[in-house]
Amino acid sequence: MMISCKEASRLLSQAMDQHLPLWQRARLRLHLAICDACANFSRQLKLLRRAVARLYD
Amino acid sequence: MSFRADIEALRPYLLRYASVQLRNREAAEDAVQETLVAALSAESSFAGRSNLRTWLTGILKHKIVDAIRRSSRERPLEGVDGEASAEDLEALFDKTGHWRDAPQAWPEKALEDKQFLQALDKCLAMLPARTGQVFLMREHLGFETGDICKELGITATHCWVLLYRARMALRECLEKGWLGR
Repeated sequence: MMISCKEASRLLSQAMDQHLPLWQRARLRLHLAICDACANFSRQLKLLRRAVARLYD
Repeated sequence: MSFRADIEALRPYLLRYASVQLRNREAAEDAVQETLVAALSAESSFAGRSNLRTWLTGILKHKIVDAIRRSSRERPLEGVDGEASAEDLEALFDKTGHWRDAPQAWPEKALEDKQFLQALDKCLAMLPARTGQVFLMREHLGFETGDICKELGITATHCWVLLYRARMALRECLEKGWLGR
């Protein structure tokens, strides 16, 4: 069953903070494989993390 | 320059650093003052270290956490910060759960782009106070979410929602303020 972008975005944010269960990761991976917008969002979150880490250094 | 003068010269930087995280001029000034006093009395422990700013920032981070801890005891979360559900984010998606404004591909070199970092700084300042604080505790100070919840006295779910809300707001703000120009 496909998850929506809304659900995917929430899980992607959560994945930045904790290890998701295997089944959730599998559903996410499936979604990201066919959704450019969420794949972009996922990369944005990682870039944000690196940017904020170096923002005041 | 004397050690005292070296330290004093970094005050504006430290103040800006503390202001972003504490969102309160007075609290930021207090944290910086405490940092400078602690630094002066610990000059010997700096000896041999290479970077004064890094050392001072390390002390300041502890003072900031102390201040956050104190203020969260005194004041509960207000407004959208107090919302433990992500309902307000529903508006970013259509009825079928698709993005209304699909996230774009950001250039890899964004990290080297001064304008990107400046826009990020501005976008951070626009977040609701606690939301911004929680986000920076997580992403800048490197706290685990469990520790953030404990410090702020909020539930884990509330913590996830604040982080989710911060990230959604930041990416939207950056696409408008930086990419969209």
